[in-house]
Amino acid sequence: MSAKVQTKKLVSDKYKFGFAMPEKFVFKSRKGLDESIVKEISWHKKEPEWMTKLRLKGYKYFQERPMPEWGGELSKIDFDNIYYYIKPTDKKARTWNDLPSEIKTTYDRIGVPEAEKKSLAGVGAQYDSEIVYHSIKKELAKDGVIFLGMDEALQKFPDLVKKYFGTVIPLNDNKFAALNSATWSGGSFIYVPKGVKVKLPLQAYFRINAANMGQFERTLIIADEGSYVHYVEGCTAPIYTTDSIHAAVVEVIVKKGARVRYTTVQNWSNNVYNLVTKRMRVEEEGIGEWVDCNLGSKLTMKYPSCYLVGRKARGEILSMAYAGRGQHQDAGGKMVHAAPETSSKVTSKSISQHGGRTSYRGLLQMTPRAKDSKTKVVCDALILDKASRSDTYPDMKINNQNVQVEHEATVSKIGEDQLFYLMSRGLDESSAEALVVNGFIEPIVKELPLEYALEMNRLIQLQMEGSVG
Amino acid sequence: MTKVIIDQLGKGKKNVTLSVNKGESLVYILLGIKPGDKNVIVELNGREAQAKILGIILGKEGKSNVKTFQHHRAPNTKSDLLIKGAFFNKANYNYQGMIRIDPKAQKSNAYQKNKNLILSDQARVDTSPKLEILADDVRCTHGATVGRIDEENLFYLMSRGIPRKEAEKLIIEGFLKSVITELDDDSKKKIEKVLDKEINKLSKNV
Repeated sequence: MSAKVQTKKLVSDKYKFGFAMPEKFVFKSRKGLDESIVKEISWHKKEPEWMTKLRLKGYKYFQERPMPEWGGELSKIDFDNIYYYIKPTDKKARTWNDLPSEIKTTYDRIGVPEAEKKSLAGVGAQYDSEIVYHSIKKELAKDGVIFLGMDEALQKFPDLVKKYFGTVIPLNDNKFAALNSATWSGGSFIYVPKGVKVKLPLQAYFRINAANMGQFERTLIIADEGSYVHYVEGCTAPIYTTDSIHAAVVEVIVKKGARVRYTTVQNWSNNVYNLVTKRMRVEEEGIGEWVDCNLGSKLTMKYPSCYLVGRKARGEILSMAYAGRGQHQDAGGKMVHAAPETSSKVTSKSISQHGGRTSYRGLLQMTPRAKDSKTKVVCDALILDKASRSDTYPDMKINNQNVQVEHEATVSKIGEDQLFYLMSRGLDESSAEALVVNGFIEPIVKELPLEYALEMNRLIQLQMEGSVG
Repeated sequence: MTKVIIDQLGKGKKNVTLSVNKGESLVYILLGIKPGDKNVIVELNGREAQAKILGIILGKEGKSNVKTFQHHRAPNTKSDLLIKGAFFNKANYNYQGMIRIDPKAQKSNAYQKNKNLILSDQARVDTSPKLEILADDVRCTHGATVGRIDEENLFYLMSRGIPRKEAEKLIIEGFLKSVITELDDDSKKKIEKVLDKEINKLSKNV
């Protein structure tokens, strides 16, 4: 046998969203970023003065902050070779037919309009820098639920936006949150009034079409007392030989007794740097949940977090990562317990193959106010071949004696006893391996909305014939 | 033959590098009854090399930093780490553990466990047990816990007529000493001699 025996493809590397549409836009900023471009973005959006000032402050922080020295390889990002703002169309469509045909074809191929008909309460679609489509079921609008693109929300509800914007993630939180604050465009704004429960998920689809694009959407979700909402986002992009950046900021406010679930299925192409800051503030008896699936991108650095600030607040993170050839998924989560009787749970599952690298990076913090709080983290990693790598970087900071903190992690390959058992039942080796991999991620996949669960099963494809390469 | 090294926090060299060669077996024990810093690197350099890293930290004051690095550089190696700590008053303890398995260290096993009892609201424990796995045919697990004395255990002892303070002392003693149960009698005696003195001091001012 040659030294370079390829491992079997358990998880398909094929990327089916890699198509690109011809670029048609009404405005495209020149490459690179400076103060005048920041002002230009704000001018195009006809923003109030406070927002222009906020953007400029964000830009200043972005310049001042050094690049993070931990996590993935960031030194190759060329900030001067990125288009920071591309406006694909002038109007916002309320029906799919109103969209320019390239954009409509893109979403048809991803399958968005079909999904909307079947199982969603509202849909937003972002193409490059702007939200191009938005709709919400009439009943919800009647209950007072607001679901808009962030830019539209700033025009229609400036006071509400001003009150909450940047309160969960300060402008200067980290370099990429500062970059987002300076250049943000698009994203969703959701407000759910007191006691309103949104039964079907609200969904947003993010698509990068242009090459060398920077997408900086900004999402803000406010769930008022006793309300419930489930927000789902999906992300795809064409395959280019040059790199794009996606640096989103997501702020979620869970008020007393409310519950918010935020599900992400990130499937960017392998030329996208995905550097996202996501955080929830969970108040008394509220529940905040992140379901975070990272399949695509070149490098992802994303650690959704819950700040549990009210008594009996609860946080949960389900994190799944898959890294294939040339990919590094640096994912995980943070739980900060800042109130008594709070509880949290983090479950992480990662798979690496074909030289891919997955890292779990997490923080658990028990502040002096977190009396009688509990947290548990479980991380499992599978390595499918010897070219691949798996890391675990947990951090626990405990400053309270009445707490319970547990962390456990396991890294292994597929168990030979598991394979032996399945094969003794008549399965061939590759089906047995595929079954084990599917079982491994099942606890996360079962929490996904049906259409995404099906998509995930397609992605984690069973290669029954055990083909090489 | 297994080589046994007993070291103390706040004494001797701050940086300790131990290399374990083909077929060798090593036990390193770190005893912490005073605050201090220790940076322990264990390199498993040859096939079938084995290392056990044990630690008992009794933190009553000051700031301690303990770092361990289990570096698997050869195939079929095994490392096993267990460090337990109990922290009182304003003790401040920072533990950073790393297991690294190099690509050529296939068929290796590595374990890392860090358990802590926190016995005062002013005490502070930061623990960060890390893994970097670059080979696929391995088995690695780690775990860390931080918590207080189990109320049920305490209740059991007290229902047998043992006063609360004495019961707490017994539980802490049992928690810490379980680290060294598998050691040879000689080493065990040496460690218990030092540890008992400190634990007895505790019952007076816990």
